[in-house]
Amino acid sequence: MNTVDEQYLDDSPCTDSNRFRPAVSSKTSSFGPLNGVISEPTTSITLDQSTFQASVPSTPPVVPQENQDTDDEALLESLSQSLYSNDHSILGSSNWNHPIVSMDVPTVFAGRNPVSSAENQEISSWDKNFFILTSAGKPIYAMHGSDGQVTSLMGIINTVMSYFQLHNSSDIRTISCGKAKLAFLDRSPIFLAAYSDRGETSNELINQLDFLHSYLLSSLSQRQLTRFFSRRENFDLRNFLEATDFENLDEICSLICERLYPDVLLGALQCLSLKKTHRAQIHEAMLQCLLKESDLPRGTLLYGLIVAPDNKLCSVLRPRGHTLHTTDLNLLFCLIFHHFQNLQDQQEMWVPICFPKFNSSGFLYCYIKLLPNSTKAGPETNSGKRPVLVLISAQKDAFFSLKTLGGNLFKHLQANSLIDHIYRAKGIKISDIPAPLVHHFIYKSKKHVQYIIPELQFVTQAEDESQEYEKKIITYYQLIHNSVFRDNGSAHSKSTLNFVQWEAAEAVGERSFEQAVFQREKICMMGLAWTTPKFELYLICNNGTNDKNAVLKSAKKIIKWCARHEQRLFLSDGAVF
Amino acid sequence: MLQYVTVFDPSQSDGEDEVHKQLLLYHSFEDLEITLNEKLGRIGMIQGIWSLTDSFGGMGERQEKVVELHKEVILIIKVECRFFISLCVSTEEGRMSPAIPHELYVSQLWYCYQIFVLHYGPFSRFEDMGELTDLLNEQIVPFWHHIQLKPETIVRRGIAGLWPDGCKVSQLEFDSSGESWESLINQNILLAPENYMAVKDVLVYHLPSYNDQNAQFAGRRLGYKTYGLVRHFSDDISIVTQLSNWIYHLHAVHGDLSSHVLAGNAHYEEAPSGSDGVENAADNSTELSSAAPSNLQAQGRALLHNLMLPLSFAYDAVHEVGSTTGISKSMSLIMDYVPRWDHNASRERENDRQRSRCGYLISPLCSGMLPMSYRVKKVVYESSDGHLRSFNLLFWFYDDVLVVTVCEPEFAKIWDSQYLEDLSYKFRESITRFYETAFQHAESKAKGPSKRESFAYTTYSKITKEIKCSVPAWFDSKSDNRGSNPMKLVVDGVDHLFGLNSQDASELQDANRNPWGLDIMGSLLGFRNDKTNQNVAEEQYPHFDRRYENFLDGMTQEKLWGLQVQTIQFLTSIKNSNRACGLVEERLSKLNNGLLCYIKQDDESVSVVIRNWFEHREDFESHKRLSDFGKVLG
Repeated sequence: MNTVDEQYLDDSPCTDSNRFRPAVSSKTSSFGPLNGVISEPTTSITLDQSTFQASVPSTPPVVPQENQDTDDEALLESLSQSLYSNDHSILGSSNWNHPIVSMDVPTVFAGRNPVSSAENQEISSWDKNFFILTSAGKPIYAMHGSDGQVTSLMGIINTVMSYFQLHNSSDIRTISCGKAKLAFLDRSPIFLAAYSDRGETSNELINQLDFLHSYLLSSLSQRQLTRFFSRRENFDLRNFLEATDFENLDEICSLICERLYPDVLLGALQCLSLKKTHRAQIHEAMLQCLLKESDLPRGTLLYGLIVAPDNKLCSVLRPRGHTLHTTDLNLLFCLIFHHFQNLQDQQEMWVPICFPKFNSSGFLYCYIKLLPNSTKAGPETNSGKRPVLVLISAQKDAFFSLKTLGGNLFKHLQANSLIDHIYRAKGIKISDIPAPLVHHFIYKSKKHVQYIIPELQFVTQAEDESQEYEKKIITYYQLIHNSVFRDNGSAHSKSTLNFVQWEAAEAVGERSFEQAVFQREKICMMGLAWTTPKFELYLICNNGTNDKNAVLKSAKKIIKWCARHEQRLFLSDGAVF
Repeated sequence: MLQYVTVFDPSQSDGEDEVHKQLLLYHSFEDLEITLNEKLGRIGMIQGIWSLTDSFGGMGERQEKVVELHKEVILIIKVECRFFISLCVSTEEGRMSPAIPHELYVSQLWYCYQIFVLHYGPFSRFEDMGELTDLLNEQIVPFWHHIQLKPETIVRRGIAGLWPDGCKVSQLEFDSSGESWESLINQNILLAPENYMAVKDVLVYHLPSYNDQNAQFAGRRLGYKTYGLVRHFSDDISIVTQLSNWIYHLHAVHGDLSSHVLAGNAHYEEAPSGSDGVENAADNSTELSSAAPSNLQAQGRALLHNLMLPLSFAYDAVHEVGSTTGISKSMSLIMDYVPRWDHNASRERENDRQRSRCGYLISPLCSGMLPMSYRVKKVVYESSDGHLRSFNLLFWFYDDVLVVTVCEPEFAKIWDSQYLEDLSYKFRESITRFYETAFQHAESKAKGPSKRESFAYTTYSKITKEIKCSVPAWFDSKSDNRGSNPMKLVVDGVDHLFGLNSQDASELQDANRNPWGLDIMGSLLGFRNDKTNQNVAEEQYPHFDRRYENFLDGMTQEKLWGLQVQTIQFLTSIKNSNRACGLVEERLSKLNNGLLCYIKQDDESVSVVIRNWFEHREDFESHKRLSDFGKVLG
């Protein structure tokens, strides 16, 4: 990889852009190893994106030496623009008008979250909040705000929702005021409300509420909930929920609002990128183990899953004609990686979980065990998280049967070195794909209901900074996503191509000496949304990109690349029995 | 469709016993009996929602809120810091036809308020709330009644109706050679010694009638970018936007402007309801007419109803005007009282329409027996010192041009008929020049007929509040739904009743000399009265060299409305974007139906450009940047 120095001073008005800039030294590539992760491209890399970083002309431009896509004129043109751009860099050098293409992403959003998350913050200081209450008005959960603050608010929410049910026999859906929205979801005996001032659509908020409600059901089941409230309408559910439930709700809210977690936005899940043959071998192993288990009565096992860290599905064992709903899987993954990760090597868990979209009235039982350590790959990846085997049964007493099945499967996987492959599987990187000018993207395959997303490469060591960065990226995606969908969630048309661009308005007035000498990074962000019956593509370009043709070419390359590697990137059928 | 409209002021109630005092207006469009408690419950809930949303911070800054229920939408605006105006619209399928985005209903709420303030001043100026309630009943109820009966009122404003604080301006390009029509108005009227400081302003509107669907397909219709305020001359008057929106509203409701419309005397009458659902039968007459013969009974009911309507309406009209003027049973008066909406494109009419017409709509030259509102229109405004002042407005029309003269109320010369004749002559001179320079360019004559623009656009400036729009409005809805509107049937019936359809134009001209000075703009009906005003210009403008058309002008009206709805969705999406201040946001969308839409929004303006991808594919592919065409807007 080429090494490029940071050669301009980012003095953009947005402080965030500085905070998230990686500490790039002359010895560190901006695409270099990060957090100890060794950069190992899984496909032929044709272009190193770091060449697009801005340089001043005095420095010899770094021209990519190898794997250059020679027929890409747009790329060359962009290269020439970016490498020699010197807009406003030196006093009087107004002849340089090429835009600067930066690897960093400035923020273009209005936000009003308080700096500290102290409990005594005013409710109005948050730009996003979730409220869960009972249909009798008793608070269950609020994302932000103390009990004293939210109790009266929930009382009003309850009154408003009940009023329209009684008087108009019609449920209230949203209250909107410009980009601020308050969305409601009536899942009696539970009421849910979401407030957002981030320009999210009604459909998006309602989906988020549905996800929160699904979590409650996964913990309690609809039958249990109905039983509580049929006995006593003003039942206080908080007394029944455990501390871990509230932690999980916090975690889910944080995932939805602050982290790069597009699962709910897209209604899809992520899959571990794995070679087709390896995945097929794992599926074969799962099937063989199941068939060999002659003691296991038919129907005991409903589903078997191997899940890699970061909520990535690796492989699935399922009965013919049955699949699990994406929401159910998302919830399961959330629980596994935020709740059950403290398992020791030899520990197993047998947990009842309700899969609300599968059957909201009953529980299924999950046998959960970490995959044994790999012999060849590094012992731990992804900040200590390890892949997990989940075996799901409808029978309460199937633990030992499933334990045997799990043990056999582990042996089989280890014997064929398949566990090593799972451990060694890497997430894709933006540099894997020959898509110039693209900072980040999400590709969703509608057929598979799965999406792929490159690993974030600019995350710094600091947890809060990386979180801010994730929030910035997901906010971009929300905006880009919303530009092709209506408020009710339906697409504007069967296939839509949409460019979104944010640009700082030209500064008026004379520049100060400082501004003139030190180059400012002008905000010029571009995003693209492309939806067709087969796929959805959302991408964010590097700052300074303004050539739509070049971006479109990159988008096409991403689509082509994803189609070419479809079997590696997406899980098709799984092991069907 | 509409369920209820309400105006209330929570500050009017001091305690539980006085809660009812806050309710200033509650009008239900349904035949349901609603108790006072229910009404108070509804407005209480609206207040509750308002304060709930205010507690979240981000929602408190805007003065409009939309509550979406599964079957209806409640739209609320807050004016003058304490008055709430709320409208409830049913969104059940089949009840909103055509489906109108709620953003446009919110705009209508603002228009409704603007028009009230233009006529009577702000709500807070009324000390006696009873008086305010009476005026609200007079003004706001008919406003929404018209929309209930003719939803196309909203549709006709189209995408330009998305910014209620904006004013649609016409974008005619005038030939710069020779003396301009503006300078004629300036020199001869505004700066003339007798008018100086007394005639405050002259507003010139170009309001071509878009009623004739045949004209559209025959390529004789002017582009929508020519519609609107062409010019006004003074920055002193602050009511230009409100005044313009009032005129556009009347034009959208009635299709044509007439003396009665401007004087506020023309109202749609709802078909009588309650007697075995006759109203419903009339509403659905389109369906009925195409229904199987088994529906004969229902058809018969509709037919009977349609036959009876004209009679009752005509008599009502005669009675009402007669009682105010002392004249009754004047056939010509009836003809003028009822604006004509339908245009069967007979050859005679086509010829008539090609003639130039002019006259006055509201002027002291009208018969003294007519009410004062026919002679001078009063509007009010709040001056910079906080006092309520008024203006007198006079209206002339010259073909498709409406000229509004804004005078000080003390200006007595307007009551001098000689002065008015002179003024009218000066206007005619100027507008003749207007037509010559706007539509008959020497250059374009040499080049041949001007090409249609390959794009359509809409721009709104948040600073100047100007709306420029070339996306054609849907003015032909009634032609497409022939017979479905009970009011249209009434008007048809009136024509048949008096046998006018069988007469030719020349007969009409002689037979119907109208001494009352009532006229209608842009209609055959008004043409008959040209002689009465003695202002028929001899010049004819059968062909315009420039029609200011764009590629959408050939599109069917349903598709055009679909396109506008789609664009409104795009605009709503970008409006709700979480963009930080000081940034420009641009979107370029290409849909699979070929719609290519470019939207730009910054702190000062919103621009939309629409093109057809398939028509200009080669152009786009050769373009380096697709958004280049956005530069056409400058």
